[in-house]
Amino acid sequence: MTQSWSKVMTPAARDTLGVRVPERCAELLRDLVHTQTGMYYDESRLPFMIDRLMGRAVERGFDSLLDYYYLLKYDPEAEEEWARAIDALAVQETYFWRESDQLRALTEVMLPGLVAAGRRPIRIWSFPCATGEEPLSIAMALTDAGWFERASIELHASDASEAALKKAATRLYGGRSFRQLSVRFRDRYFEPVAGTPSWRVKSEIYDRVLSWTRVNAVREHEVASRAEADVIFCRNLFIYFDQPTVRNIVDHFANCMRSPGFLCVGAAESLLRLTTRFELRDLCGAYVYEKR
Amino acid sequence: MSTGLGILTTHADLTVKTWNEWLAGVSGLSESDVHGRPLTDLVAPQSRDTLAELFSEVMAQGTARVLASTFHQGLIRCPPAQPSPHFEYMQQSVTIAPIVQDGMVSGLIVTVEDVTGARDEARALAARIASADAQPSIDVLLAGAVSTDWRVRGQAIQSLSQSASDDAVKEVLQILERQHLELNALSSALQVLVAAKRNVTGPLLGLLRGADPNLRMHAAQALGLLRDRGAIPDLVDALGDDDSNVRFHVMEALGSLRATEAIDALVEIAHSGDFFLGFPAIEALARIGDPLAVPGLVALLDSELLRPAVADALGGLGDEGCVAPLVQQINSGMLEPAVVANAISRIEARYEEGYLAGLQIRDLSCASASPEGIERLSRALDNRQPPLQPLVRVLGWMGKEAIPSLVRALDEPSVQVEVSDALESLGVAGVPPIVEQLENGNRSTRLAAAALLGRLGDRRATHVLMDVLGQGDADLRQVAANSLATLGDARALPALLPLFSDTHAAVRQAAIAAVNSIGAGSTEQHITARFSDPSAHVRECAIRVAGYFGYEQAVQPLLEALSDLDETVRRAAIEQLPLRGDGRAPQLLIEALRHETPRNRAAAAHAMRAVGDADVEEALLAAMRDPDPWVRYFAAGSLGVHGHERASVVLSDVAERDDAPQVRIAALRSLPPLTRDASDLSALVQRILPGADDDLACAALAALGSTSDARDDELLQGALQHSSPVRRLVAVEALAARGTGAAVRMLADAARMPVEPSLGPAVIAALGRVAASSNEVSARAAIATLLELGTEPEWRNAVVAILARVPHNTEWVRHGLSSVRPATRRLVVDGLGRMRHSMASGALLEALRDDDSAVRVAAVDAIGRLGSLAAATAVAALRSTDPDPVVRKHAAAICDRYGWLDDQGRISG
Repeated sequence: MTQSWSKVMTPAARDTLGVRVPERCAELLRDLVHTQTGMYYDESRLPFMIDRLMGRAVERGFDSLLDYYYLLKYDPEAEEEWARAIDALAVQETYFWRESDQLRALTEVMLPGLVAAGRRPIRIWSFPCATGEEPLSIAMALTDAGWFERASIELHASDASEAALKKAATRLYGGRSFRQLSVRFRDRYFEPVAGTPSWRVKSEIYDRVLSWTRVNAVREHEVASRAEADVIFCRNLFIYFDQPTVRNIVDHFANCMRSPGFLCVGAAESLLRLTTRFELRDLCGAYVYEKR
Repeated sequence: MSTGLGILTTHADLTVKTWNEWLAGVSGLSESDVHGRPLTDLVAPQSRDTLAELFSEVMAQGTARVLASTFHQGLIRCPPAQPSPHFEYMQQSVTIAPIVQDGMVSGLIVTVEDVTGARDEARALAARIASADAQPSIDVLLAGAVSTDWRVRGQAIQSLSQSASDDAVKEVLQILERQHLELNALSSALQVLVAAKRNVTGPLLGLLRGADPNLRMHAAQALGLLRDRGAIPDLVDALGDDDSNVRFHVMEALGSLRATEAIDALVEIAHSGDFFLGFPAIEALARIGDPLAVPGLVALLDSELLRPAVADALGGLGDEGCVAPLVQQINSGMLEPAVVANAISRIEARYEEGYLAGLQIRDLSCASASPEGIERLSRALDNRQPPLQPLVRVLGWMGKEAIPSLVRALDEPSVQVEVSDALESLGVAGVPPIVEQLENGNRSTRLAAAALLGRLGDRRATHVLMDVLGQGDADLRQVAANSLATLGDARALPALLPLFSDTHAAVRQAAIAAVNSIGAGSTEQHITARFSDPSAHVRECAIRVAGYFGYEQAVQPLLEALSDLDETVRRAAIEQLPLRGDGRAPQLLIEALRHETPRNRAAAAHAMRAVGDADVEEALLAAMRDPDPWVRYFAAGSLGVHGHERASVVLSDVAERDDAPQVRIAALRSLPPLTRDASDLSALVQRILPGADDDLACAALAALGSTSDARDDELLQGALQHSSPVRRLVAVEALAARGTGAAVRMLADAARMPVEPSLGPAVIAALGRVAASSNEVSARAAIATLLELGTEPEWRNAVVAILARVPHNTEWVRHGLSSVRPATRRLVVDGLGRMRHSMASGALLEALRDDDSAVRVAAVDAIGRLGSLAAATAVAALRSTDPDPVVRKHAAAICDRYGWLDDQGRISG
């Protein structure tokens, strides 16, 4: 977890930002964030949330976090600020080829099964896509296995953070994003940007992702627009939510998806006690949930 | 059907493998019909999803599950074997277990039992027990008490406890005698005896001396649950029972009773070499929690088998006397360092919390640790030997030898906070390795290292922090700038100034703070040069720094900035105006309030809180009609600081009618100091509360903290019981602020309310504030209430801490020494012992003559901790004169520990 550093900051260090945190304000903000976004910050992660939102309070010119709370809760134009708050809270710790066993399961088991079931086109949704590493990894995997030639596949990407989507739109990636990606793939699907340490993803991959949209996981109408998918990659989202919220989201996925349909979650996440609408399967050594 | 039990097995894919005759009979399907079919196809449709998940779970986890008929529809839906008056379908108890072959789960075995008949009987019995026509007979209740149905047992126990006649209790004891081998019967009997609150100790002691070892065992168990200290002498005698199971349960009971009388005997058992009994003896000593056991336990550190348990026990009850022996275990490699660290850490925490004397333990630990011991602790941390947090804390006491391993542990997220605290306590010797982590570590470590360098305040870190400022990670830049703000090193200025154009406001703000820390002399020319920078961000930052320092050369640029093309620059200038103490500030702010953009008008309104001026107040009142809610919000806040009574009329209206909730809240917050007649405020709150959301309601309730109208008590009482936790908390705070007698009574009731346990600490703290107030009547009432509440185990520590902090009200605390309750008097002694006040010491001497031995023991301990040599004579005398052996022992131990006596047993010094 990258958030623990903020507990190391003493109140004196926070004071340099000039934003007061009145009593109970942290809990009020936490509950509001939970209601609006589904994200839940327990005691250990509350300092991280506070530090992130303090930055927003500074941007808005407030010297009390309570004022910022009122802005989020009551201001008629809070929607826009919520987008900024979500950007601030998003932890963009991702990289290419993360949890690649599920990518292999996609190309070797899921897609053949969907093709055999007559599914056309096959829709794949990456949510949250963060700064794009995941959907682009999927595009690379499918390209490498020749799937775009063999089947009609639509790949879509969504995230709640506008800043993340903007970053994805630059198509530029740096060193840490490549820590799991083979040099072969990097050299094949990316071009170095002269004079910088960055790489740009090639169009043949980038263009495979047909849409990049902003979606808030707890807004069902936003989710519904994309969740009618055959495969959903929803990895490392649920770790930020409490169980009732996760249950609601997964139920909504199940309502939108057809059978068979596949849901890929993060290695640290389990739906075992949350739903019976998906069955845990072992596909080529990767754990994937199949819609019943 | 060949058996009364259904049995089936499955393959790994949950298809049916075998299916016995019973199942064939109830389902109408033969084994050949079902062989190879998915089991989920054959179960009751309503249960399919749930059972499918359970089957998968058992397969995955390899653990069995039992499904009670009351919660599940059963496996196979079929009519009962015999007609049932209550159930249409067979009630089934189902067990699902894994079949394990070669270490892997290869299928399931499922059993199904028809329990319809038993459930019919339980229903009939329950109906009789619950019958409203007549009190159920004892026979019916006793039958219910041993029913297999937990709900029937519960009803029967409740009824028995309530009726609790002598005959009923006697019958229950006979159940214990006759049916103690049945778990349900035993459990019920014990519950009834405990809940009945009758004096059953005598009969139980009779059983304790009886011939049947099982009965002696259960009698001991029951006596422990009953918590009757009158049973202690007999229980101590029973430590010599022939049967080791009896002795085991006797020890448990003595631990529950916190029987200090048993310490010597328990220590002897622990030393006996009987390891079956040694561990429970140690555990009992730990639960008794009396440091008298420490010498005996310390001696057991020589026992390889018992050592870990002894260390754990010493962690719970040990004193400074066992620190060196415990540390020696690390030095010699006899015990895992993490185990010892855990024990010492607990002792330190107890000393710090109880006596503010944690430093004594830390120093003793450090003094006792050898270089090899520190090396072992370091290695344990490197190897991440759990528990980690105590290990880190103890290493932090060990001096700079511990620094390398602590720095290496900065990348361990679970203890990053503790590591940083430990490194900070070790001082600047850690700077070089932490700098290295900042240069080479992973992101999380670098962030922690950057923050820590700020805390250490050593300017050797300046250059490496400056390097970080130029890097791509905004979080790192912010943390590094924050740290530079504490270093105040002028060398950082060239690296900080470029951050004025950073796109992240938090980074810019941190850079401003860092520049401010450098001082006016080194910064003025650099800042004034930036007033006309092409970047609005830079101009804004320059204005803010200039405002902070009040440079002479900055006056004109600041005024010019009020007309800057960029809104944020103008806003910065507006916010700095009050800081200069310039006579033009009020008018300039008024101008801004009237003519600026909404955000800048809001900034002007907010800045006016620092300006007390009649024209400003007028402008603020007018601003309460501004179309922008944030202007009104900040105007309301500023009126609360400098406004006068006239403002209260406007604010009252706003509090009730404004469209924007946050404006109403701000108005309510500002009203209390402005309102001359508190009854107006009360009336306003009473109109606002109905229908208010939590935020508005909390603001209204908080305002009641400044009123004393008795009608408001009702509102606050209602809020104390509201479903919203935050309203309850605010109500508690408002009551503390009111500090009336009624408020104290309401707080006391709230502390006793069982509905909301988490409110309790807030209530105790609120009473503590009242107890420390200068309102004599209220403080006295609060102290009296606290003395009563403090006898509850859950409040004891908090109340003692509060009592220790009211030395100016010592007299009322001392009054508690004349309470009829020994528990209250003990509480007072503990509080006085932490007070370090001369009047407290005098009161403790009085307590040495208390009627209750436990109070005298507490007084002896308290006097010992205070180190009051003046009281030494009185304590020393108790060694021989006190009628109670435990008191005599404590007195002797205290004299010995603090060296009050010379070789001849006379007071030394």
